[in-house]
Amino acid sequence: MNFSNYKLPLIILAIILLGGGGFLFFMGSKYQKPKPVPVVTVPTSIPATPTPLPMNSESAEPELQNADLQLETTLQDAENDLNAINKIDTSDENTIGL
Amino acid sequence: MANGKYMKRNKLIIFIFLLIFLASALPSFALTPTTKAIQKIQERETVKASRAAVQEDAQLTKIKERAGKMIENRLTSLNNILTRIQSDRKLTSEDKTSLTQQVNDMITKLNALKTKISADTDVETAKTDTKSIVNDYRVFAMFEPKIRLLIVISDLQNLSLKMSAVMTRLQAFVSEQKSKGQDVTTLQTSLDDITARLKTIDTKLADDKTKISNVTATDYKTVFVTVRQDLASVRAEFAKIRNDIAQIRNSLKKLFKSSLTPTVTTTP
Repeated sequence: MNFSNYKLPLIILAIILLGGGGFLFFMGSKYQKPKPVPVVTVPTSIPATPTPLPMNSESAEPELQNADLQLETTLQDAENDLNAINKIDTSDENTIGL
Repeated sequence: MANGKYMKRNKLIIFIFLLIFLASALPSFALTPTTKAIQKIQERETVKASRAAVQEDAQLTKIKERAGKMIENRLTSLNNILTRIQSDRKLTSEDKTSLTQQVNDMITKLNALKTKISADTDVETAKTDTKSIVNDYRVFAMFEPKIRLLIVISDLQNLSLKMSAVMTRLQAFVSEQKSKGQDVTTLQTSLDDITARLKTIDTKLADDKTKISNVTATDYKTVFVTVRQDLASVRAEFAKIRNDIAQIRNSLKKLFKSSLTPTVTTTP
Protein backbone atom coordinates (compact mmCIF):
# COMPACT_ATOMS: atom_id res chain seq x y z
CA MET A 1 0.00 0.00 0.00
CA ASN A 2 1.52 3.24 -1.13
CA PHE A 3 0.53 6.22 0.97
CA SER A 4 1.42 8.77 -1.68
CA ASN A 5 -1.34 7.37 -3.91
CA TYR A 6 -3.95 8.33 -1.34
CA LYS A 7 -2.33 11.57 -0.25
CA LEU A 8 -4.40 13.88 -2.38
CA PRO A 9 -7.82 12.36 -1.67
CA LEU A 10 -6.97 12.29 2.02
CA ILE A 11 -6.06 15.96 1.98
CA ILE A 12 -9.27 16.78 0.11
CA LEU A 13 -11.23 14.68 2.61
CA ALA A 14 -9.55 16.48 5.48
CA ILE A 15 -10.35 19.85 3.91
CA ILE A 16 -13.97 18.80 3.38
CA LEU A 17 -14.25 17.56 6.97
CA LEU A 18 -12.67 20.70 8.42
CA GLY A 19 -14.76 22.93 6.18
CA GLY A 20 -17.95 21.01 7.02
CA GLY A 21 -17.14 21.04 10.73
CA GLY A 22 -16.45 24.75 10.60
CA PHE A 23 -19.67 25.38 8.73
CA LEU A 24 -21.69 23.33 11.22
CA PHE A 25 -20.00 25.10 14.16
CA PHE A 26 -20.73 28.44 12.61
CA MET A 27 -24.33 27.58 11.97
CA GLY A 28 -24.74 26.06 15.43
CA SER A 29 -23.34 29.10 17.12
CA LYS A 30 -25.56 31.22 14.98
CA TYR A 31 -28.67 29.34 16.06
CA GLN A 32 -27.66 29.29 19.69
CA LYS A 33 -27.50 33.04 19.81
CA PRO A 34 -30.39 34.28 21.92
CA LYS A 35 -32.91 35.75 19.70
CA PRO A 36 -33.55 39.34 20.52
CA VAL A 37 -36.89 39.63 22.20
CA PRO A 38 -39.03 41.67 19.96
CA VAL A 39 -39.96 44.86 21.68
CA VAL A 40 -43.65 44.94 21.74
CA THR A 41 -44.84 48.43 22.08
CA VAL A 42 -48.08 48.29 23.92
CA PRO A 43 -50.02 51.34 23.05
CA THR A 44 -50.47 53.22 26.31
CA SER A 45 -54.06 54.00 26.81
CA ILE A 46 -54.17 57.67 27.61
CA PRO A 47 -57.38 58.35 29.42
CA ALA A 48 -59.15 60.62 27.09
CA THR A 49 -60.53 63.72 28.64
CA PRO A 50 -64.24 63.28 28.30
CA THR A 51 -65.36 65.93 25.97
CA PRO A 52 -68.99 66.59 26.66
CA LEU A 53 -71.29 66.31 23.74
CA PRO A 54 -72.62 69.61 22.53
CA MET A 55 -75.86 70.66 24.12
CA ASN A 56 -78.89 70.01 21.98
CA SER A 57 -82.63 70.36 22.26
CA GLU A 58 -82.91 66.94 23.95
CA SER A 59 -80.08 67.34 26.45
CA ALA A 60 -80.55 71.01 27.34
CA GLU A 61 -83.47 70.56 29.71
CA PRO A 62 -82.10 67.61 31.76
CA GLU A 63 -78.71 69.28 31.89
CA LEU A 64 -80.13 72.52 33.23
CA GLN A 65 -82.28 70.60 35.66
CA ASN A 66 -79.17 68.82 36.92
CA ALA A 67 -77.30 72.12 37.24
CA ASP A 68 -80.16 73.54 39.28
CA LEU A 69 -80.13 70.49 41.53
CA GLN A 70 -76.39 70.86 42.07
CA LEU A 71 -76.90 74.49 42.98
CA GLU A 72 -79.62 73.61 45.44
CA THR A 73 -77.63 70.84 47.12
CA THR A 74 -74.38 72.80 47.37
CA LEU A 75 -76.10 75.88 48.73
CA GLN A 76 -77.86 73.76 51.33
CA ASP A 77 -74.56 72.10 52.30
CA ALA A 78 -72.90 75.50 52.57
CA GLU A 79 -75.66 76.67 54.87
CA ASN A 80 -75.24 73.55 57.02
CA ASP A 81 -71.50 74.15 57.23
CA LEU A 82 -71.98 77.77 58.23
CA ASN A 83 -74.45 76.68 60.89
CA ALA A 84 -71.92 74.13 62.13
CA ILE A 85 -69.39 76.97 62.53
CA ASN A 86 -71.93 78.87 64.65
CA LYS A 87 -72.30 75.82 66.88
CA ILE A 88 -68.58 75.42 67.65
CA ASP A 89 -68.27 75.45 71.43
CA THR A 90 -65.53 77.95 72.27
CA SER A 91 -66.09 77.80 76.04
CA ASP A 92 -63.06 75.53 76.34
CA GLU A 93 -60.94 78.21 74.68
CA ASN A 94 -59.88 79.95 77.91
CA THR A 95 -57.00 79.88 80.38
CA ILE A 96 -59.00 80.80 83.49
CA GLY A 97 -57.56 79.11 86.54
CA LEU A 98 -54.18 78.55 85.01
CA MET B 1 -12.25 87.01 165.87
CA ALA B 2 -9.69 85.17 163.77
CA ASN B 3 -12.12 82.29 163.60
CA GLY B 4 -14.77 84.58 162.26
CA LYS B 5 -12.37 85.89 159.65
CA TYR B 6 -11.63 82.34 158.48
CA MET B 7 -15.30 81.60 158.35
CA LYS B 8 -15.87 84.59 156.12
CA ARG B 9 -12.99 83.56 153.85
CA ASN B 10 -14.29 80.03 153.60
CA LYS B 11 -17.74 81.31 152.74
CA LEU B 12 -16.21 83.51 150.06
CA ILE B 13 -14.27 80.59 148.61
CA ILE B 14 -17.39 78.42 148.59
CA PHE B 15 -19.33 81.24 147.00
CA ILE B 16 -16.69 81.68 144.31
CA PHE B 17 -16.68 77.92 143.64
CA LEU B 18 -20.42 77.91 143.45
CA LEU B 19 -20.29 80.84 141.15
CA ILE B 20 -17.75 79.11 138.90
CA PHE B 21 -19.79 75.94 138.96
CA LEU B 22 -22.98 77.72 138.09
CA ALA B 23 -21.26 79.71 135.39
CA SER B 24 -19.99 76.54 133.79
CA ALA B 25 -23.32 74.81 134.09
CA LEU B 26 -25.41 77.69 132.81
CA PRO B 27 -24.60 77.41 129.08
CA SER B 28 -25.69 73.80 129.07
CA PHE B 29 -28.95 74.77 130.70
CA ALA B 30 -29.31 77.70 128.39
CA LEU B 31 -28.41 75.82 125.17
CA THR B 32 -30.61 72.82 125.64
CA PRO B 33 -33.95 74.61 125.01
CA THR B 34 -32.46 76.52 122.01
CA THR B 35 -31.44 73.31 120.19
CA LYS B 36 -34.82 71.81 120.81
CA ALA B 37 -36.48 74.88 119.44
CA ILE B 38 -34.30 74.72 116.33
CA GLN B 39 -35.11 71.07 115.91
CA LYS B 40 -38.79 71.84 116.28
CA ILE B 41 -38.52 74.63 113.73
CA GLN B 42 -36.66 72.33 111.39
CA GLU B 43 -39.28 69.64 111.82
CA ARG B 44 -42.03 72.15 111.17
CA GLU B 45 -40.22 73.32 108.06
CA THR B 46 -39.81 69.75 106.83
CA VAL B 47 -43.50 69.07 107.38
CA LYS B 48 -44.35 72.33 105.65
CA ALA B 49 -42.09 71.49 102.72
CA SER B 50 -43.48 68.00 102.34
CA ARG B 51 -47.02 69.41 102.54
CA ALA B 52 -46.13 71.93 99.82
CA ALA B 53 -44.60 69.19 97.73
CA VAL B 54 -47.75 67.09 98.07
CA GLN B 55 -49.87 70.12 97.22
CA GLU B 56 -47.71 70.95 94.18
CA ASP B 57 -47.86 67.36 93.06
CA ALA B 58 -51.65 67.41 93.33
CA GLN B 59 -51.80 70.72 91.45
CA LEU B 60 -49.51 69.36 88.75
CA THR B 61 -51.70 66.30 88.34
CA LYS B 62 -54.76 68.52 88.14
CA ILE B 63 -53.21 70.74 85.48
CA LYS B 64 -52.10 67.72 83.48
CA GLU B 65 -55.60 66.24 83.66
CA ARG B 66 -57.10 69.50 82.48
CA ALA B 67 -54.59 69.78 79.66
CA GLY B 68 -55.23 66.17 78.63
CA LYS B 69 -58.96 66.79 78.48
CA MET B 70 -58.50 70.02 76.54
CA ILE B 71 -56.29 68.32 73.97
CA GLU B 72 -58.63 65.33 73.67
CA ASN B 73 -61.58 67.64 72.96
CA ARG B 74 -59.59 69.30 70.23
CA LEU B 75 -58.41 66.04 68.71
CA THR B 76 -62.00 64.74 68.60
CA SER B 77 -63.09 67.88 66.83
CA LEU B 78 -60.20 67.70 64.35
CA ASN B 79 -60.97 64.07 63.55
CA ASN B 80 -64.58 65.06 62.86
CA ILE B 81 -63.31 67.65 60.40
CA LEU B 82 -61.17 65.00 58.69
CA THR B 83 -64.28 62.82 58.28
CA ARG B 84 -66.17 65.82 56.92
CA ILE B 85 -63.43 66.51 54.35
CA GLN B 86 -63.22 62.90 53.21
CA SER B 87 -66.99 62.56 52.80
CA ASP B 88 -67.28 65.75 50.73
CA ARG B 89 -67.94 64.78 47.12
CA LYS B 90 -67.76 68.33 45.83
CA LEU B 91 -64.16 68.95 46.86
CA THR B 92 -61.42 68.21 44.36
CA SER B 93 -58.64 65.81 45.31
CA GLU B 94 -56.26 68.81 45.55
CA ASP B 95 -58.63 70.55 47.97
CA LYS B 96 -58.92 67.39 50.05
CA THR B 97 -55.15 66.89 50.18
CA SER B 98 -54.50 70.49 51.18
CA LEU B 99 -57.19 70.59 53.87
CA THR B 100 -56.31 67.15 55.25
CA GLN B 101 -52.66 68.19 55.46
CA GLN B 102 -53.53 71.26 57.52
CA VAL B 103 -55.68 69.28 59.93
CA ASN B 104 -53.09 66.52 60.28
CA ASP B 105 -50.39 69.11 61.02
CA MET B 106 -52.50 70.47 63.84
CA ILE B 107 -53.12 66.94 65.19
CA THR B 108 -49.35 66.27 65.18
CA LYS B 109 -48.62 69.52 67.02
CA LEU B 110 -51.26 68.84 69.66
CA ASN B 111 -50.03 65.30 70.21
CA ALA B 112 -46.48 66.62 70.68
CA LEU B 113 -47.76 69.17 73.21
CA LYS B 114 -49.67 66.42 75.00
CA THR B 115 -46.47 64.39 75.35
CA LYS B 116 -44.58 67.44 76.62
CA ILE B 117 -47.20 68.31 79.22
CA SER B 118 -47.39 64.76 80.53
CA ALA B 119 -43.60 64.89 81.03
CA ASP B 120 -43.65 68.29 82.81
CA THR B 121 -42.28 68.15 86.34
CA ASP B 122 -43.20 71.55 87.73
CA VAL B 123 -46.45 73.45 88.00
CA GLU B 124 -45.29 76.61 86.27
CA THR B 125 -44.09 74.82 83.12
CA ALA B 126 -47.26 72.74 83.03
CA LYS B 127 -49.35 75.91 83.37
CA THR B 128 -47.47 77.64 80.54
CA ASP B 129 -47.81 74.61 78.29
CA THR B 130 -51.52 74.25 79.06
CA LYS B 131 -52.07 77.93 78.28
CA SER B 132 -50.38 77.38 74.93
CA ILE B 133 -53.17 74.94 73.94
CA VAL B 134 -55.41 77.98 73.80
CA ASN B 135 -53.00 80.80 72.96
CA ASP B 136 -50.86 79.08 70.35
CA TYR B 137 -53.40 76.88 68.54
CA ARG B 138 -56.89 78.35 69.03
CA VAL B 139 -58.49 75.23 67.59
CA PHE B 140 -62.09 76.14 68.40
CA ALA B 141 -61.87 79.89 67.99
CA MET B 142 -59.75 80.06 64.85
CA PHE B 143 -58.60 76.79 63.31
CA GLU B 144 -61.88 74.89 63.04
CA PRO B 145 -63.87 77.86 61.64
CA LYS B 146 -61.00 78.50 59.23
CA ILE B 147 -61.04 74.94 57.85
CA ARG B 148 -64.84 74.81 57.69
CA LEU B 149 -64.95 78.15 55.87
CA LEU B 150 -62.29 76.89 53.45
CA ILE B 151 -64.46 73.82 52.78
CA VAL B 152 -67.46 76.05 52.03
CA ILE B 153 -65.39 78.33 49.79
CA SER B 154 -63.86 75.41 47.87
CA ASP B 155 -67.26 73.76 47.42
CA LEU B 156 -68.71 77.00 46.06
CA GLN B 157 -65.71 77.56 43.79
CA ASN B 158 -66.16 74.07 42.33
CA LEU B 159 -69.85 74.73 41.90
CA SER B 160 -69.06 77.93 40.05
CA LEU B 161 -66.67 76.04 37.76
CA LYS B 162 -69.34 73.48 36.93
CA MET B 163 -71.89 76.19 36.25
CA SER B 164 -69.42 78.01 33.99
CA ALA B 165 -68.90 74.81 31.99
CA VAL B 166 -72.66 74.31 31.61
CA MET B 167 -73.15 77.93 30.60
CA THR B 168 -70.37 77.76 27.98
CA ARG B 169 -72.14 74.82 26.35
CA LEU B 170 -75.49 76.50 26.67
CA GLN B 171 -74.04 79.59 25.00
CA ALA B 172 -72.92 77.45 22.05
CA PHE B 173 -76.40 76.00 21.78
CA VAL B 174 -78.06 79.42 22.00
CA SER B 175 -75.73 80.81 19.34
CA GLU B 176 -76.59 77.85 17.12
CA GLN B 177 -80.30 78.51 17.57
CA LYS B 178 -79.75 82.18 16.80
CA SER B 179 -77.95 81.28 13.58
CA LYS B 180 -81.00 79.21 12.65
CA GLY B 181 -83.11 82.32 12.94
CA GLN B 182 -84.66 81.66 16.35
CA ASP B 183 -85.38 84.48 18.75
CA VAL B 184 -83.00 83.96 21.65
CA THR B 185 -83.16 87.44 23.18
CA THR B 186 -84.52 86.37 26.60
CA LEU B 187 -82.26 83.35 26.67
CA GLN B 188 -79.21 85.48 25.95
CA THR B 189 -80.16 88.04 28.61
CA SER B 190 -80.41 85.34 31.28
CA LEU B 191 -77.20 83.74 30.11
CA ASP B 192 -75.32 87.04 30.23
CA ASP B 193 -76.65 87.64 33.71
CA ILE B 194 -75.42 84.23 34.88
CA THR B 195 -71.99 84.79 33.32
CA ALA B 196 -71.63 88.15 35.05
CA ARG B 197 -72.76 86.74 38.39
CA LEU B 198 -70.34 83.83 38.13
CA LYS B 199 -67.51 86.31 37.54
CA THR B 200 -68.46 88.26 40.67
CA ILE B 201 -68.70 85.02 42.64
CA ASP B 202 -65.28 83.82 41.47
CA THR B 203 -63.59 87.09 42.40
CA LYS B 204 -65.17 87.16 45.85
CA LEU B 205 -64.42 83.52 46.61
CA ALA B 206 -60.79 83.78 45.48
CA ASP B 207 -60.35 86.88 47.62
CA ASP B 208 -61.96 85.20 50.63
CA LYS B 209 -59.82 82.10 50.23
CA THR B 210 -56.69 84.23 50.42
CA LYS B 211 -57.99 86.10 53.44
CA ILE B 212 -58.88 82.91 55.29
CA SER B 213 -55.61 81.19 54.40
CA ASN B 214 -53.61 84.11 55.80
CA VAL B 215 -55.71 84.61 58.92
CA THR B 216 -53.77 85.30 62.14
CA ALA B 217 -54.54 85.26 65.86
CA THR B 218 -54.88 89.04 65.84
CA ASP B 219 -57.28 89.48 62.92
CA TYR B 220 -59.28 86.25 62.72
CA LYS B 221 -62.45 87.72 64.23
CA THR B 222 -62.75 90.54 61.71
CA VAL B 223 -61.69 88.31 58.81
CA PHE B 224 -64.34 85.74 59.69
CA VAL B 225 -67.03 88.41 59.84
CA THR B 226 -66.02 89.81 56.43
CA VAL B 227 -65.83 86.37 54.82
CA ARG B 228 -69.18 85.33 56.20
CA GLN B 229 -70.75 88.48 54.83
CA ASP B 230 -69.17 87.72 51.46
CA LEU B 231 -70.44 84.14 51.57
CA ALA B 232 -73.94 85.40 52.27
CA SER B 233 -73.77 87.60 49.16
CA VAL B 234 -72.26 84.74 47.12
CA ARG B 235 -75.14 82.49 48.13
CA ALA B 236 -77.56 85.25 47.15
CA GLU B 237 -75.83 85.45 43.74
CA PHE B 238 -76.22 81.70 43.28
CA ALA B 239 -79.89 81.99 44.24
CA LYS B 240 -80.30 84.56 41.45
CA ILE B 241 -78.52 82.20 39.07
CA ARG B 242 -81.12 79.57 39.95
CA ASN B 243 -83.83 82.07 38.96
CA ASP B 244 -82.02 82.70 35.69
CA ILE B 245 -81.80 78.97 35.04
CA ALA B 246 -85.54 78.66 35.65
CA GLN B 247 -86.14 81.44 33.12
CA ILE B 248 -83.83 79.79 30.61
CA ARG B 249 -85.69 76.49 30.99
CA ASN B 250 -88.98 78.26 30.30
CA SER B 251 -87.54 80.08 27.30
CA LEU B 252 -86.14 76.84 25.93
CA LYS B 253 -89.54 75.14 26.22
CA LYS B 254 -91.10 77.98 24.21
CA LEU B 255 -88.28 77.86 21.70
CA PHE B 256 -88.66 74.12 21.13
CA LYS B 257 -92.42 74.48 20.80
CA SER B 258 -92.07 77.21 18.20
CA SER B 259 -89.49 75.22 16.26
CA LEU B 260 -91.84 72.21 16.18
CA THR B 261 -94.84 74.25 15.02
CA PRO B 262 -95.03 74.03 11.22
CA THR B 263 -95.00 77.34 9.46
CA VAL B 264 -98.12 77.77 7.38
CA THR B 265 -97.37 79.14 3.98
CA THR B 266 -100.22 80.36 1.93
CA THR B 267 -99.94 79.87 -1.79
CA PRO B 268 -101.88 82.26 -3.91
